[in-house]
Amino acid sequence: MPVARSQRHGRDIVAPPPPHAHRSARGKQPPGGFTLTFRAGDPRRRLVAVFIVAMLLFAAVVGRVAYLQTTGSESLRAAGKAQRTTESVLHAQRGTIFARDGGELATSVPSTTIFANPKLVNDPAGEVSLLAAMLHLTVDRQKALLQAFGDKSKSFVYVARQIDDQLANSVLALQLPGIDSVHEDKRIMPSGDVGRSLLGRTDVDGKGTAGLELQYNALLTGLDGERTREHDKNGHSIAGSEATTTDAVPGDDLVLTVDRSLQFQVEQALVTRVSDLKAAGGTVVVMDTVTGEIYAVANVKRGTDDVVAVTPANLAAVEAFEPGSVAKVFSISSVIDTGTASPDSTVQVPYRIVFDKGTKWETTIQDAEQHPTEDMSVRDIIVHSSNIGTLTLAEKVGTQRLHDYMQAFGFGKTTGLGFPDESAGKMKKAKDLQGTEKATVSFGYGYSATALQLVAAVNTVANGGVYIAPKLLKATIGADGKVVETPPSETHRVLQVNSSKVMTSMMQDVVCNGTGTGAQIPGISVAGKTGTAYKLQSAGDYGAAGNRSYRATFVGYFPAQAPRVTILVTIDEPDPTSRDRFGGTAAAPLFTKVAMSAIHELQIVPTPGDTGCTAG
Amino acid sequence: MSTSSALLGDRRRAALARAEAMHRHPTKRSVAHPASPPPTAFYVMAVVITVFTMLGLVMVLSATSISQFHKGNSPWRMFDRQLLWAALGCIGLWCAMRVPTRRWRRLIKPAMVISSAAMLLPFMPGIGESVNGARSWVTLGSFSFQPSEFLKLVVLMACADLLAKRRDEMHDPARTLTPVLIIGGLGAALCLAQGDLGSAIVMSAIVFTTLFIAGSPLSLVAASSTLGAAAALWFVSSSPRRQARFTAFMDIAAHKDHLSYQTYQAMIAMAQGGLTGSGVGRGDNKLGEFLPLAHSDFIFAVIAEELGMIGVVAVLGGFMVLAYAGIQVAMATHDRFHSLLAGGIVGWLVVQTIINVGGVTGLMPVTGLTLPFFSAGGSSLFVTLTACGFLLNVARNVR
Repeated sequence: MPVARSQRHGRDIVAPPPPHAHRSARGKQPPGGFTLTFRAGDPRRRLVAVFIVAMLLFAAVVGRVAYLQTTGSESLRAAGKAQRTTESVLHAQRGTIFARDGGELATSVPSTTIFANPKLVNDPAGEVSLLAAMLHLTVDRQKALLQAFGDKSKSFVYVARQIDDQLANSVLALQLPGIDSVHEDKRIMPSGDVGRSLLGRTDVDGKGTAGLELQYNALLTGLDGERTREHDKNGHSIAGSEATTTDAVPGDDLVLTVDRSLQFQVEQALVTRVSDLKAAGGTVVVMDTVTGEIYAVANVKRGTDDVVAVTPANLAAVEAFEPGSVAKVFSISSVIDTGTASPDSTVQVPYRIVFDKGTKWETTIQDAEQHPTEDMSVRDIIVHSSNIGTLTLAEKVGTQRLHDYMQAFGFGKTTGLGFPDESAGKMKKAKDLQGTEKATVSFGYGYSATALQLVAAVNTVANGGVYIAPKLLKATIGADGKVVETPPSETHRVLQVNSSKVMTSMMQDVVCNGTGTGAQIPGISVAGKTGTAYKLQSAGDYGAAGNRSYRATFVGYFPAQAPRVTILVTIDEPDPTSRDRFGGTAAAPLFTKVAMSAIHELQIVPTPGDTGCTAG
Repeated sequence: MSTSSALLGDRRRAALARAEAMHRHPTKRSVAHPASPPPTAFYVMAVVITVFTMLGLVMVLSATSISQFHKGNSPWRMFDRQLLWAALGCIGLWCAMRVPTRRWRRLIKPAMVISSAAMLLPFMPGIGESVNGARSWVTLGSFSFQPSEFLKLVVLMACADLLAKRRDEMHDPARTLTPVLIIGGLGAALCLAQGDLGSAIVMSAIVFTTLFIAGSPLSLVAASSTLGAAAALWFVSSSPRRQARFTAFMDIAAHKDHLSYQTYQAMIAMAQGGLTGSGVGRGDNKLGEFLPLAHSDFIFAVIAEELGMIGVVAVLGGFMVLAYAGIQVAMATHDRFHSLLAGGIVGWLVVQTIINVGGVTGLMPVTGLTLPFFSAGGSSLFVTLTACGFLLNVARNVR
């Protein structure tokens, strides 16, 4: 029997007896032989002790609750808020990209995305297998979902994105806990692939990754909204709780300068032409002479499967090439504008010139067709595209002055379109030009330019000597429906008005009597220039005869007296064995075709008295 | 000071003499019908009991209406049941208060037998029900109760009765301590057999409080309560599940997803309550059904969330006032049985409240005890009210 000695409470012995003490008696004497004495306590004191202990316990509990409700509440409150609050993003609708006529080129349409809130999923394995069966999920996807459903710290996981509404509805009809749907926009191109290389693309989240979608991503994206909702453990909204919603602001719409119909026709014509010529690719740019607005940009390429198709890449902006004879427009312009020679001035032109004779840098430059050394007028030089004549004239202008003109024409720097990955081409500084480069620059070798730079440069002549930067964005339409026209393209004068008129008349001769006869349009006079450039081979040279590849180009504008459009056609690597490998034979006929489409679509009429090349 | 204490002593002796004289020459047949009006403590207790019962009903409604609604039931379902039990409890209270205690004392032995036998009901197939690992519920149709609640009251009355009869033998463990421990040990063992540690602890607390108040030698009370605590610890460590639940409270944040989920959610609810609370019915954690057993064992968290610190202080303060008044009455009464009964009831309510609130607030392990007056659970409310009836009976017969 457990006992304790009363000595532990010596007080009980020495203290005066409590009221009931006289009732206490000695304890029984156990058989063991020693005496155990116990004393009964005073119930009144004991009651007071009970009360004091009770008060202390209550004080401790009150202290604990007070701590939890005041200083200790911060993190717990946050945890409470977190477990009952779900924030969902309200996606802003991405802006539509319109053609200038209002046709939709790229737009976002609502579709349904299935997502899961792992916090509410109570049977991850079961739900995953059901979803897998309905949505045909891959094994890897199932594993990923199963893992995601197990992570209760997240409240949002994609299950299937941008799926058919009907399929989504049948999944939702299962009413699986934690499975819900959101409307999510899907980017589509209602006009098919028209303008694909310009438009670029978006990723599955609707973020632009290439082309105009990338360039104007910020404008198109808009501002996502947010909805905060309080829900109970099972996902029911808590009655009376406040759901705060910040509405999404849709992105701005873009109105391009592109004419959808013309763009389509140009693309088709280019595909056909490149196929016919067994060429590697080609680019066409149609530009408004006065405003710089781009009506159409087509880029096609022969794919690895040997099928010619519109490329996703906007080669017109990103790919630079040596322009070849088209560049004679700029050197002859500098000759005329500086007054170095007039169209009828003549120079002696041999068939070939050998540079650095007898040294290891010996280079021969010759004209395309053999001819005896003769006196050629400036007009003849451009009409017949004489390399020797051009370099002889350019020499008179001087390397630095020619270079300044080239810069003014826009070479060596990007056009200002701001197109993603736009190339500036390559142009050395005048003092860095070495040896024959000083001569070759005048007829289009030794520097490179994009199709857009080239068309803008030729357009300078068409536009009375004023350079106007190309333009792709005509206007933006805000979420409020307000249309904001983009500011006009920047311009600067390059040639005197008269020089441009002289150049136009000579370039008309190119089309009527020279290398560009294939570009004639009945009843409308066309000014233009052909170019057939040898392509730089991988070995670093242009290859020998019979082993060359070509780039055939034609740039022209019409009606010559008051030009409306400037059109560039360039065919990359036409069949080198074919007769149709030259600017005048490969590119010029396509120019005519594109010009006919432009005449229809843009309602271009000849200037009064214009009869084309049949002038008497 | 010495004169005043001598004066007090004189008074006390005089009062004792009067009481003895009364005892020798009783002028009235019954002490249950006092001539003088009840003391202030009676009214204080009556007010606290009334307010608690009504506030408890409100909180049960608040804690259950949403979850019942979500289950497709009437939002009033639990409230209606609690109201019925409150009505029954009022009858129990009335009887306990008006019927003289000497009559009740005659019923103690049969009551002890019946309630002990009732403790075996939960093991009977068909009517027994296992809740949270404890077989402590009896369900008869839509009517369910915990026999251990009744046993608590009966054990208390049995101990008080025995210790009152043997008031002069408190120093003799064989005459007082041992039989009381046997009664209490029987009750606690029955509770443990059901797997209901909380009730066993309360049962032991009732017995020890009564023994302590009765004046049983401190050393023996301390020794036997230490033995009791050791037995409880053995019980806890005998099952890994109980062990894990028991120790989870030491690091609530680490076990917040499983073992201490309830406590963690209760702490969130309390934290959200702040100073003034969200208002009755507006507790977010309760509305979110994040808090399991919000209406029964964890109703204190709902009170704290919806009434804030003000409500907590009011409720716990109410318990303190009740304890104070109960101790006052126990000290003032001349009837030994009354004194022990009142003291035991106070000890019971205090211990059960502290263990419940301590568990909810994360100070102690969760033991599955109800909060007297507030938790939904009919038998708990009924027995609590009946016990309060005895408290009031004692209070109105102090003089």
